[in-house]
Amino acid sequence: MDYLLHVLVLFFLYAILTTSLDLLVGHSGLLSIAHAGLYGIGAYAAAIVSTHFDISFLGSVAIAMLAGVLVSFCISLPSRGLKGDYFAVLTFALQMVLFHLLNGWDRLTGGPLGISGIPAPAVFGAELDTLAETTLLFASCAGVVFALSRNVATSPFGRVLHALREDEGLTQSLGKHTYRVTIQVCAMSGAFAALAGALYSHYITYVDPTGFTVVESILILAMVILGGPGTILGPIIGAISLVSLAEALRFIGIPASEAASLRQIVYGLALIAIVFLRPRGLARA
Amino acid sequence: MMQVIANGIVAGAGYALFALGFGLVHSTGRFFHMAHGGSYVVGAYLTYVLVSKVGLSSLVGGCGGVLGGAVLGAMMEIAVFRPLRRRNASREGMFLAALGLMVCIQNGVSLVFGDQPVVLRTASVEPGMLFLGARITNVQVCIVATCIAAAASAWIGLQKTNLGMRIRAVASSHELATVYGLRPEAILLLVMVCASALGSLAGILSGFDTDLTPSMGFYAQLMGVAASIVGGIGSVRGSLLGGFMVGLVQHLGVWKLPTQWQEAIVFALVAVCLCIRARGFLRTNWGTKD
Amino acid sequence: MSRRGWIGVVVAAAVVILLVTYFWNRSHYVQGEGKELSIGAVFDLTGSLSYMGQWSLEGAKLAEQEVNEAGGIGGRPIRLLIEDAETNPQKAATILRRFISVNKVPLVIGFNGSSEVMASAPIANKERVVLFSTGAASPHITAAGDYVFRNRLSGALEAGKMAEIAFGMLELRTGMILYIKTDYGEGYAQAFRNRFIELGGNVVAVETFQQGQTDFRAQLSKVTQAQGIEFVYLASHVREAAGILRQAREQDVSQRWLASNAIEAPELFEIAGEAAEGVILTVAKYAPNDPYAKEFNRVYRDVYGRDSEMFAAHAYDAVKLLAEKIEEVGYDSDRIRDALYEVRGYRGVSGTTSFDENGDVIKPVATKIAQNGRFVEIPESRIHEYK
Repeated sequence: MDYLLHVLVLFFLYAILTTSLDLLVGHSGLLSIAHAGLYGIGAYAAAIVSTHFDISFLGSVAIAMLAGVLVSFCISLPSRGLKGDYFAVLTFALQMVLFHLLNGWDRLTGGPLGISGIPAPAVFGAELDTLAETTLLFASCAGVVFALSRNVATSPFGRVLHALREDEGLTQSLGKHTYRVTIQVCAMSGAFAALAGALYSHYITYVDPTGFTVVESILILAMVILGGPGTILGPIIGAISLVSLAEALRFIGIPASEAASLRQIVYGLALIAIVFLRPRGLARA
Repeated sequence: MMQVIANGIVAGAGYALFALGFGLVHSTGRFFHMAHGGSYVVGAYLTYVLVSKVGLSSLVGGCGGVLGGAVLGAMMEIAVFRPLRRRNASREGMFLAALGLMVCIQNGVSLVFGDQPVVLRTASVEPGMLFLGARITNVQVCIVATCIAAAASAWIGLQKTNLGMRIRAVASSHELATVYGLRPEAILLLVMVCASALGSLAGILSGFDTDLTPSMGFYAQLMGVAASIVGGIGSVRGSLLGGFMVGLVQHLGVWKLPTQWQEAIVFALVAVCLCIRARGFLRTNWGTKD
Repeated sequence: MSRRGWIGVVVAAAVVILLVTYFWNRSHYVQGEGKELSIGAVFDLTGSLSYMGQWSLEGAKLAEQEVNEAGGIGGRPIRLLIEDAETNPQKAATILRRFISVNKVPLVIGFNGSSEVMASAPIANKERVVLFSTGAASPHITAAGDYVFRNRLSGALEAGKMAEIAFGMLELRTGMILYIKTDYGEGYAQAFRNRFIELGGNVVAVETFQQGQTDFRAQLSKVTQAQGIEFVYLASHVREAAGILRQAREQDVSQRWLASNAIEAPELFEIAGEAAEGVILTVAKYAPNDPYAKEFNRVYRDVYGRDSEMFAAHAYDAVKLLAEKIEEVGYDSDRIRDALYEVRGYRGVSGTTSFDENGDVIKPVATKIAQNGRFVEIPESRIHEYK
């Protein structure tokens, strides 16, 4: 039972990550490969403030989300006018820089040794001891993120995002401030990714840089794309599919040493296949 | 100090060679060929197999590797990029498909050869030649020479030959090229083959210089993209400039800083260049060449 | 089919897959009369530490086979449940959770990577399952918890010994540290540095490089820049170390190289050739020709076709030791944990094992030198000859 709850916890974490990335990729047409970096910023922010400054769980989550917003400005503020794949390359570069910061700034992050001893989640002083309670917490967070995202997607703001996705020039000519909108949606996406990071930290109670590499970013991106970007349920499906695929492949009798590479190949092929199915763009209204 | 500059130049030559092929595909095919690193790693491993397992000489093995990489490029074009183009795929779509290909190729190599490094060294390890106060090995000289030669041939080929003119026409506009009776698809295939040959050449040389692992292609891809962004994609001059700049920044940058920031500096540079370019985005010609 | 339809199919498929595999797994591995005694085994079969994981797997399987051929434990065979952690701490932790809740094993071995141990230790401690690492070196693991044991020497001891040898026997006073920016390198570099400075030595510069890096020339420029150093301490995995040594020779950087244990692998000579000659390293003592290990090595060679390595021996010992304890006190994690703390002088193939109060082992450290394409041990009395 615990194992299934653990898989559920992972699923909720990834659901938050995919939903927040989809705000960028699916709804706004902004291909980002820096999501794992934002995830990591949230995780480390929570880890640092709760271990060094003894901040409570709720406090550390809030601070982590703030950190996510601030770092997202590094992506959105300078990237005015950057199109499609150039934007992607920018996020790629920033992802690498973020990883090196996490891995290299020993004083702050512990470097490769990471930070251990992060306290378990505690809501208003009551510590969550059982896995069931933690799962419930994560489920609620995922639910909130999902609801908020859906709200955004169907709101007037969401319509501007969709217009941005289709044609930025036209949107601008219609009087919409695309730059400002981009900054806002990046901030939201970053905050949610950081939320997932904070939850992750408190759950595993140990963070190290290896969980926040560009490979992880590509994984999250793959989940979003496979599930169907720009749709409401798409990110959820993507998260379910790849989380359970990862576990399921373990059980099928492939020699363990090959399984990891085979799984990656499956992701790669799936990515290519999806592009064949939706060549015109990542989203479809 | 000279050594640092020499290191930067050699590294830069490697990146430039990669960026050359990458840029060629970008200007004609209009997308970021994120699987260029695939030719790089496959070419290197193929040469390894030919030299170490089959026993061919380095030169013959190297040619075999280049051929293999070129064939891989052709396969990618025919199986993935051309059909996507026919379906009107967007730039991001091509980017993602190429990324998917890169993941597949890298893991394929890992499946066959394992994750541990293999060596393509044929001579004993000796101190390199002394040149203006810096030590460089034969292989390193080879890398720089090959880079310059490739760039020169590419430039001459594009500017002075008929074929080159056709390639530039396609790079400028697929539609117009078709109107004038050129066949863009055939040209694109040719460009891909040549670019992949260059890519695998870069990989093979790197294999002789250091060693081979499945992830070498991905790393080269990162640096190659960096070089292209910094120098300007799509021109021979840009690839050279970008490559050498990245190489020199990487080495000179850590002259005084701790070396662990080597990569981070390069990527920060890429980010800055992209942001600066974004300002003048609408004014720059991304598609045409020298 | 409509979009809704596809969504339904995917979700249903995912749920079905998970349930099926969960129950299939449970039915196969649940403990009961006459069924097997399972021990979880989490090795890195892919990823950067795959060579370690592979050796560990081989050693562990040999032990499993021998225990079972000798009749198992009370007539019941033991069984290793082997999984690949892919050199990834989250995956290691996930696998541990599965072993605990689905397979209900009280013992799990493996965890070569230090960060894997760190990520999994809280779970092991909370769920009261013995986590027995056969390869992790980080000094942080010493304090990782009550249920965490390892039969591999803490890196702090190896690196500390290197510092002592450098200062005391080789009479080196000033040096530089160059290490790989991973948990392994970080642990060794810190330990060496602290001990060397404690003894009175001087560390002029500390530089790092990334795992997977191939061009170390910038780092070597730093070596040339460092004033008055008599040696460089290199804490690295074999591939990067070999690259550094090779490029150092190509650039005619002549320094004395001291290194950490991970470079002890044939790849060092394959990649670095002559450049590897003369490197001195400290490593937990293990030689296939030792009296304990001879027989083990012979069998190992028969089965796998090459000499055994330290990690295989550790894994072998782990399985054998745990089997012995299960026989003594039963298949219960608390009792096994207590019994492990009592272990003194267990004669295994990787040497004599005794656990201290932290679940760490004290084992002798050997000093070796790379000579003529092989690693040759230098007896303590003769180390000073290499001044």
